[in-house]
Amino acid sequence: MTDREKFLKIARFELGGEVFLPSCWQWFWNGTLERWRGEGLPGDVHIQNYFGFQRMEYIPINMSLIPAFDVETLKEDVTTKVIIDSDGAKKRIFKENRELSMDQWIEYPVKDRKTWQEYKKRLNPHSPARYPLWWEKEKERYKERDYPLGISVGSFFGWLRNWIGIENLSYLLVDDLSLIEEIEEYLEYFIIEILKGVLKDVKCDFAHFWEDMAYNKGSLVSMEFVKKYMMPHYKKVTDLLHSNGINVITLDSDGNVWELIPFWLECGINGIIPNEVAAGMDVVAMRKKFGKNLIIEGGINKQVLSKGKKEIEEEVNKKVPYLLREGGYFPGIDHSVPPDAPLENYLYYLKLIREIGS
Amino acid sequence: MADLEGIKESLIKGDANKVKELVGTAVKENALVGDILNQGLIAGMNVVGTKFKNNEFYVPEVLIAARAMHAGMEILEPLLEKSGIKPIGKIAVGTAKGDLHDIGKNLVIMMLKGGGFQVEDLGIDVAEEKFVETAKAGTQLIGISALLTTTMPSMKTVVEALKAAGLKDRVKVMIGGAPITQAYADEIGADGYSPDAASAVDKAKELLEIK
Repeated sequence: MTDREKFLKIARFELGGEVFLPSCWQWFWNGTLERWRGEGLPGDVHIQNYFGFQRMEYIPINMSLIPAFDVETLKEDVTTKVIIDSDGAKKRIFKENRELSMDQWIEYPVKDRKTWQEYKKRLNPHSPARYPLWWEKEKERYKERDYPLGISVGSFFGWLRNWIGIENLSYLLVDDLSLIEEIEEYLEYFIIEILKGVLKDVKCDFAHFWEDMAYNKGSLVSMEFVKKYMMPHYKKVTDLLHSNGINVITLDSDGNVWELIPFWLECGINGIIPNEVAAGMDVVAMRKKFGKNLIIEGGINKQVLSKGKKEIEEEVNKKVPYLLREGGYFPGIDHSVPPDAPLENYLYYLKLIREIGS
Repeated sequence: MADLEGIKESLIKGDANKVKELVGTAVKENALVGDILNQGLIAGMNVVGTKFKNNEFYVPEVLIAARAMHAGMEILEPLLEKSGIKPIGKIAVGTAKGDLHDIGKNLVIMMLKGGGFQVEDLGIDVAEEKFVETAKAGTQLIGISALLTTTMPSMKTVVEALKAAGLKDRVKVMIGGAPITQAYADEIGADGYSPDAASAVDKAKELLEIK
């Protein structure tokens, strides 16, 4: 069985008990890898190979702004600098170890109708630069593959949050609701036009949304917002995906997404990653509640990796055997592995997972 | 007669213009500033906080209500001192050292102000010295927010610095943020933990013994 077949069989609940660690869904902070190099991780390897993850790829379609904004530094002090990033947002970032904190958003590029009209000029779905160089040849290469290939299908909240900001977005809900509707309409057009251009030539195995629309308490926005401003657009995208034979449609959102899952399922989004334990996600309870309607990835508490083998065993054993048996589960840490995790512990975690699978 | 109920309801709906108009009218009609504040604005924010805790309101509804509160407070603030109205407590809030993420901290500040506290925003990436300094200046409660596990340890550093400065008995420490739990608060010797912005108001009142 190829990795492609194995991935699809697990995702379709046709294969229980098998471990498949998708290479694109295992994340590490750079600081973690730096630490591990001091603990024996060779510096000259691809970590996906070193840890034995299974190959998974996304088609490298560029869904960001084209052209991107020039990244420029506006001012700096000893530890931080204020920049305009490639999305046009003004941010304060750490000069070193930036990944260990989220940036501070100071100003967002889309403020009103006028700024949106300018901004969307960079969101032309038909820009040739959205496709990889030598795309005609690349398309042919994909036909011979034996690994799962996915396509990113964007966002109907995460992008808005990054471009408008949650505070301004909230005010627009009162001050200029039609602008939110207009932006969501345009995003649907943008995503669908890109997808049409790709799916006519390449058969993908899965599609993947990114939202990051929850925190430890739950969704950032109400279910009314989701129903009214997101679901109709999700459905248009998933209809297109289904009509192209793509039935594994996953979504990445940190935070507590319990309340959101039924809405996503209703739209045809049937996989959730990474299921953060500290935010209240419990992958065993998810499987019990949503049964075989939901593909689950992750959900192993990153915080146990800094503790001892006993804690890692407890965490893995209470989740992984059951979930693997049921199918539709891809093991993973519930976000990036943090730098307080020793390499020895991470390797022990992988060993346990693989033993359960075998 | 001042429409205090109208102020409260308009604030809950997030109608900043209406709140501003009704507060202005109430002031012109010589309503007691304390009544406008407590029975209008703070009463409205209390409802918003309760709805937020119960998942009836989400972050946007809270932000819209806080903007409406701010519109009313712009009129009331110059009158508070003259009327002898004091905040119910003094709090300083900042993100943990190494943490630039400030949305949670800003929400907590909005809710605490809406609850009648005077709140000093210490900003982001706040060093323990700054927390100690504000404690020396008379802050009764320090709030620290952390988004990531990597910045959590600096909360412990603040508690230890307050102890070392002999201030721990005079100032309470309340912590919160995505990776924080009550167990962690207990472990580092923080006085309280709040799971969300609205609960922070209740916890602050509890820690400062405000009825």
